[in-house]
Amino acid sequence: MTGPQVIDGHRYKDIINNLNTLIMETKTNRKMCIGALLLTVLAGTPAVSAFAAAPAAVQQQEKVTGSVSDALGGLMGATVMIKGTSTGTVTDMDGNFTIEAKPGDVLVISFMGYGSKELVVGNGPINVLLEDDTTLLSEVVVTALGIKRERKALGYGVSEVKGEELTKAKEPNVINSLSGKVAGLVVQQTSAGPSGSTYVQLRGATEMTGNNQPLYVIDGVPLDNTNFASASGGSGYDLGDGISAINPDDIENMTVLKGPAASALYGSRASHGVILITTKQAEKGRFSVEYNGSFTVDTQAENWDNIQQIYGQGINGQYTVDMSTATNRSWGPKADSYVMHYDFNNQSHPYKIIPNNSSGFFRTGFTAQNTAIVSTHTGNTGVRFSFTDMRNNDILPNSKMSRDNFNLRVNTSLGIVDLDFTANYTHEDVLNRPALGDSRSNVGKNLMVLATTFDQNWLRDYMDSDGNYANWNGRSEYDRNPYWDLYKNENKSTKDVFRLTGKIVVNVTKHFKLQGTIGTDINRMEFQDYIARSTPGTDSGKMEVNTYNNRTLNAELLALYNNSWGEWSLTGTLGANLFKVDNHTNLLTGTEELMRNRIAITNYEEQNIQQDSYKKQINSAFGNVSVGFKSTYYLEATLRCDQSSTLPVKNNVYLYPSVSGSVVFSEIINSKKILPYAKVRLSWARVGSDTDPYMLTTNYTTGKYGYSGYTLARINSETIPNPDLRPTMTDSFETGLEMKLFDNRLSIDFTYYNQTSRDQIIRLATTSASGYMYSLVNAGCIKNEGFELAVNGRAFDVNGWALDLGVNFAKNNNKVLDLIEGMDFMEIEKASWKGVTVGAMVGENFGAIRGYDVKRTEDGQVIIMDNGLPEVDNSGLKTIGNASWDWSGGFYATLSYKNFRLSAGFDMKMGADLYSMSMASAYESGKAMETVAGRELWYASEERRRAANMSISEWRASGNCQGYIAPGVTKNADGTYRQNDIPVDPQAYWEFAAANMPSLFVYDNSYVKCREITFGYTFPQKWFNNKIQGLSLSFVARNPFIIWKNIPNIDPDSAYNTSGMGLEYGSLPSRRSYGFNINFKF
Amino acid sequence: MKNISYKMFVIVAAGALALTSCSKEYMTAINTDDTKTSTVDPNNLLTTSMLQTYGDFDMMDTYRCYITGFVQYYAGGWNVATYAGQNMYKDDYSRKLWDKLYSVGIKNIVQAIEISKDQTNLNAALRVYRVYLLSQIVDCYGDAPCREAGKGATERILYPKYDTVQEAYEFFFEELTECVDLLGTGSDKITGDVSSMGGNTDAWKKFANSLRMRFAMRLSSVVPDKARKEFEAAVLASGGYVSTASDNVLIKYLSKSFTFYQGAVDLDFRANALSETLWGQDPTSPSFVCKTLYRYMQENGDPRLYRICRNYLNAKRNAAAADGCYDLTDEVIAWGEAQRAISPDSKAGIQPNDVGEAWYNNWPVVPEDKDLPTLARLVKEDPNAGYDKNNYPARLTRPFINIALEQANCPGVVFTSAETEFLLAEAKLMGWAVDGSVESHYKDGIRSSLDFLNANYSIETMSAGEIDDFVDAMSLGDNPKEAINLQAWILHLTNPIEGWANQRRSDYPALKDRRSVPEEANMQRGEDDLRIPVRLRYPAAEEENNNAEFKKATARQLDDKGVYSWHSLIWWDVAETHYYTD
Repeated sequence: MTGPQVIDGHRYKDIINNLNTLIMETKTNRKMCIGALLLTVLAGTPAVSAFAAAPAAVQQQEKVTGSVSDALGGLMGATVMIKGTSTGTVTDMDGNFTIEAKPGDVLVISFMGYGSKELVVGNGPINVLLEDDTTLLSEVVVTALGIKRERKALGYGVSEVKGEELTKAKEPNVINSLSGKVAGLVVQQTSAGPSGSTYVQLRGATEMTGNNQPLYVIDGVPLDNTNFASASGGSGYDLGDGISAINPDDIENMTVLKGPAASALYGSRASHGVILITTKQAEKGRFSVEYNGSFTVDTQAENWDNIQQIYGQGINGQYTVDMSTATNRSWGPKADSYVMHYDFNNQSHPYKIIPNNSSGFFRTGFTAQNTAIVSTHTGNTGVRFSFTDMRNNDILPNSKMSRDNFNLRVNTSLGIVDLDFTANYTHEDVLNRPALGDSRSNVGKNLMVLATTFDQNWLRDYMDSDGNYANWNGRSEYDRNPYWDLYKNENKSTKDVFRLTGKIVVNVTKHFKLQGTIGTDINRMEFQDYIARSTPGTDSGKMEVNTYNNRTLNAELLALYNNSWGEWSLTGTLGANLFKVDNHTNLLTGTEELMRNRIAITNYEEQNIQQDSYKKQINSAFGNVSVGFKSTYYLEATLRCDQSSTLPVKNNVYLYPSVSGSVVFSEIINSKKILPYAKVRLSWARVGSDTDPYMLTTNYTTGKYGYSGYTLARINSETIPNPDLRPTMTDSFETGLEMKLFDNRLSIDFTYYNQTSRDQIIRLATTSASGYMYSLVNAGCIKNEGFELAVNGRAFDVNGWALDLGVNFAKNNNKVLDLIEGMDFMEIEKASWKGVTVGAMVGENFGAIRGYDVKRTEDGQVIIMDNGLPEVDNSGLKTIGNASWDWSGGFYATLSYKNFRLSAGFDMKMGADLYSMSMASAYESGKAMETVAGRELWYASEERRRAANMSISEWRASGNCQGYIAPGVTKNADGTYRQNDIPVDPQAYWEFAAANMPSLFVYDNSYVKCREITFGYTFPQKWFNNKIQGLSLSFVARNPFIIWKNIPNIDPDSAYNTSGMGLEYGSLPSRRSYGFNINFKF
Repeated sequence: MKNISYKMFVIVAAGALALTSCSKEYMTAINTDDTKTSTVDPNNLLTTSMLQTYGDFDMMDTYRCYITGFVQYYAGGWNVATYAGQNMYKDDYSRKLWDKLYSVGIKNIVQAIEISKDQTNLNAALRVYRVYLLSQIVDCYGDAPCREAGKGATERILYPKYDTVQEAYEFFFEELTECVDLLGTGSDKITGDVSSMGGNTDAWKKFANSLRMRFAMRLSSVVPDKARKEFEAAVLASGGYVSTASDNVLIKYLSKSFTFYQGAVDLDFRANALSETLWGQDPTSPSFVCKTLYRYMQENGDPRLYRICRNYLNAKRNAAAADGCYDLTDEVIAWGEAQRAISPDSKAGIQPNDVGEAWYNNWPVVPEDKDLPTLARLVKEDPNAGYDKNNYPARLTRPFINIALEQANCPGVVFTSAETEFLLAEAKLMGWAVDGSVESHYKDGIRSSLDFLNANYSIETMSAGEIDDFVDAMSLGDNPKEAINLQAWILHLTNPIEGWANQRRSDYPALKDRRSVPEEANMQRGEDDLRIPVRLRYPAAEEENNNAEFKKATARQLDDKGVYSWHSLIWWDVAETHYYTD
């Protein structure tokens, strides 16, 4: 369902104030029920009476009374407004009202489900008879292929989000605004910040090795949402996605089609759902200029502060010599403020704890977005042009981005022909995209292990007098100076995106039209990653320039027919579509830098180029027929046929159908006031999917590097080609109930679905002994089953005070039913070095986190060896967590009073696990709170042992050894177990645990977050003598706080990669933003 | 109106037709990667496979963490001390050799064999090289896919059968025998051979026969008759064997800068990655020589001792250049001698680490600046450079591996004439029908070993006199098998897989008993059973990815406790390991 509803006329009006009145007056009423109580509770009853008591005082006005009724009698809860103002009231139980108004004022009387009426105030009471207006219930939604349909005619669930919801607290990537707004839609950001991409999933993963993201369709043309690179195991940059180029100010509305039934007409690309975006056109008959500005201050949201504040830099309880090694180890003595000399910067500093050390690294950034829109519509032609400039200084030092977006839309009608053209150009520059995950340049990873007494500020001396890397931390190439990485090893990217679309509609007859659409996306990106000479690990320097040239073409022809005969209605569509992708990538690599500081590929001793391409084409034909009877019963069927270039010729044409139906049973009950609208729906669909190109035959490539006199060739693929591939088929079943209750003040949308993907094209992990790491096979079965519930309503509306509330809830079970004979687990992603993998485990939810464990007794106790440490259990991987969400939900509340509006949105996700390598490293480096236990005992014991000149085993045997006693049991000589009593060095224990006991670092990743809070005021037009059509100002907060989470130090939204699969490492803090928005229109 | 609708209908109909019907050829063309090719000269695949042998840095994780540690060549580096030294199993390091060799070297060579059927010479050479690569896997992991390996694409074998070690060796012998007969009978040229053999079919014949000798010797304990038969046949086979330095089979690497893991991802195999590993990613503490190797060379007065072991002050060295790698070997020795002159029990001087020790364990006697003139001078010249900081003076008491053995262009050692001599010596010792005497082969082997080091590494050359003196001094003693295999072990320092396999097969030299090395309080330990592992475990993923075969293979390779572990002996490894303790 959509977000909050504003006072906008007809829908959801004025229900609860009546109910509240009723409750307060303890009268019985024909319309009262449990739902009213629920809403009253939601609204907070005590507040209501206070609001109700506040009368609106208007001078020089008189009381006007009247009544509103329908054919059955007095109508309770009808809205009476004075036109052009926000003054209004509602009718009482008997349909009577009183309002302060001047003669000549125009009263607008409206009630959901009825046509509104306008009456001029004269002398005497005003009695109004409202008539049923069925058209008001014919809510129109944009469905597949951009076709507008009545909601009630749809046999599948559709959720809408209005454009205005997306501009309240503007996100740099508009799709982030959807967090918590749509049931079953999960939005996950990486810690890359504003320049990064966003991972969106509807109803869980349906493919084991696909990207599982929905298709974005903008004004009928699919968007190229290529994520050029996402942070994962080895590589480290998130290069953003295509959807981020869409300006929220241009969006009229978004429609989320969740299940395959809704998207059956889009084919393969839509098998993970579709998000349809309708952009704004010039408003009819007027000229307007609009300015939108927003400015937010962005700060670090989560502090890395749950760390011990006792021990400082060092190892084994001792300082390190010269304090220049072990700078990322907090296993030293107690911080005692003793002044030490640090060789790194040749300065002396007291050896004391630096509280919240890493936070000092992050600065306060800002985001400024300025949009100008000019729109005109004369005659039959509308032109709308918008320009947006977005600038952001991220919280990371020396990182910034800018994005300029130009959008032109022209639409015109020439007799029976309508034309609609859009041209969009986006230019984006980013300096220093943050490196993520395992990347050595990940500043988060390096900061979070920095010793408790080593001030990050000292690292600003990152360069020596020769311009080389200042020798720090033993020149470790894994933990590099973060300032060096940001100031010296800059990365830069530039992106240019052109989107051009044209549409022609020929209204052949009233019932028949033809429509042709063509659109292209041209997406060019250059990413330059420079590693300066003398950087540890890359001492001779290196530079990489990635150039991506992506082109997609989408052409579509549609014939649309609709007609009705008596109580029967029919709509039909027949169409054909061509979709073509042609992407080329060049990777230039320069190694061994020649001249210092010349950042150019020619400045390298050796230069290489690597080329890749990605081409595919899908030809399709499709059609649908929908039949309606009595505006109550609807039946629809679709059929689509695809021909994909990626499949073997013999299997490349595939056909798939869908059937859906709905019954609007409120029409049968015919009790408009209790149940103005109710519908059950049922659908079944099948959608076929293809795969990536070039997977059918063996290809060879030459090596990246030259070897004089020889040619280094090899098989290009790590995946066994499969000439017999068949398309993946996903079957889905969905049923749902939509209701609007209590004179439309409460709406409920419930969906149950199940979706089975069989015979999937899986990139199956294969024994390397086959020569390949993967094989492409048709196998496996994954089932998604769940339900979604969205409840929206107006809790009260009294004397200008209104409160709208909404909750949504989605539960998804994402079970892996089958892989392939003999295989129980397939790895999807891996935390290198830690032996933890995430993948598909038969019988478990998709996203099983698996790792090694230590040996345990039958009742699960850790068995400790005679050296005080546990023993690794090498018998195989064990499931230690699951990365799938159990359920997700959202909640919003909007309180409005006259022209003021306060709203807040919340987002919650529950039940997924996260293996946090960050926390593992917090333990390993001696920064976690728990690492303090046993240190004093151990260090004192070691001192005595050395004095006694005994080996550690002798010392233990002497019974004098003290230290950390790890939880677990120890084997007695007779084979029985006793509670562990063997002391160990806590440092040795936690180093062992970090490397070998991954289950200790699996955290519940659940959270409840406040996503946005806005407080706005719309200035009345009359203040400006109606010269200005609108001026509104709002204060906004984005991601202001996390209400609840279970994982220390990091933001739960810190996926290791954009597929958000249960692994995290070195996450940068998330960003919290505060600022204001101004909108100005004349 | 009628007219327009008619026109539109025609346009739509024509357009729909145009959009939806594409020919097979067109769709196939779309699905063809223009930046790749569907045909290749199989020679070019051979080049890649050969270079990978020692060129794949990724694969070197297995060498560094396990192989070189188990066989006690290296000790002191953190990796080798932890993983091999503390019996710490880490799948990520132990699987690399298996995964990379199969998925690059063997895959490409199998493909090349498939497409070179009409190139007799090349096809035979490819088959010989496949045998060599497979033998590395079998000798490290035991039963493993051989006949069906690398055929995922060619024969669509997704679940290759694990041959037992015995079956694998059968296969090796068959292949080598057949290929020796085929080599030289074709008219094609082997242009992709990037080794010292240079595509010469005679050299390939020698290589094949020598491999057969190596494999035969490997089976000398488990199936002595079969071993003898194969060995004798190999010695007499047409083409002969690797018998002189010019016959050595060495992969040629280029003097390119090290690219480490990133290079491995790009399959940059041009530099010797074993050198790269020795040099170290953390250049200030590269690889150290294990006390076991140090001790044997020291005991025998081996002139290679200070050619292999050097003491460096590495404060300024980085991954790209050896500038600032100060060689203080002579000063460290002199300092030790001076200290012992004062106090005879002093441990000062070169202090190698035992197996299981990191360089900072068992803290050494550390020289003061004044003890080492070069150190004193450097500190005086540039006090801020930190030459005497960061524990550099402590570190330099540990013997590093000579940087001459860490060069990008060091050869990749596949087979040397020195090895042949040691094989012949032991064959003769067992009474097999070979020419010469045990002692002559033994001494020739030592001489060839020293010559090999002189010829292929930029060490301080061992003079002819030095070599003669050493060869003369070395005798077979009362345990000739030990003497021969000790020498083979030293020889194989730069061919660690063979060094480890031959040590396990022959049980010589005796290794330091890991259990007798005192526990270090701050070192983790992988298991209580600290016997030195005698094989590598299969990659953990095999259990999922080739489940049925994995189950069978692990069920038939149990250790003395009745479970599959890295204490399970490889089929040809029948005897117990010999240990020494000081």
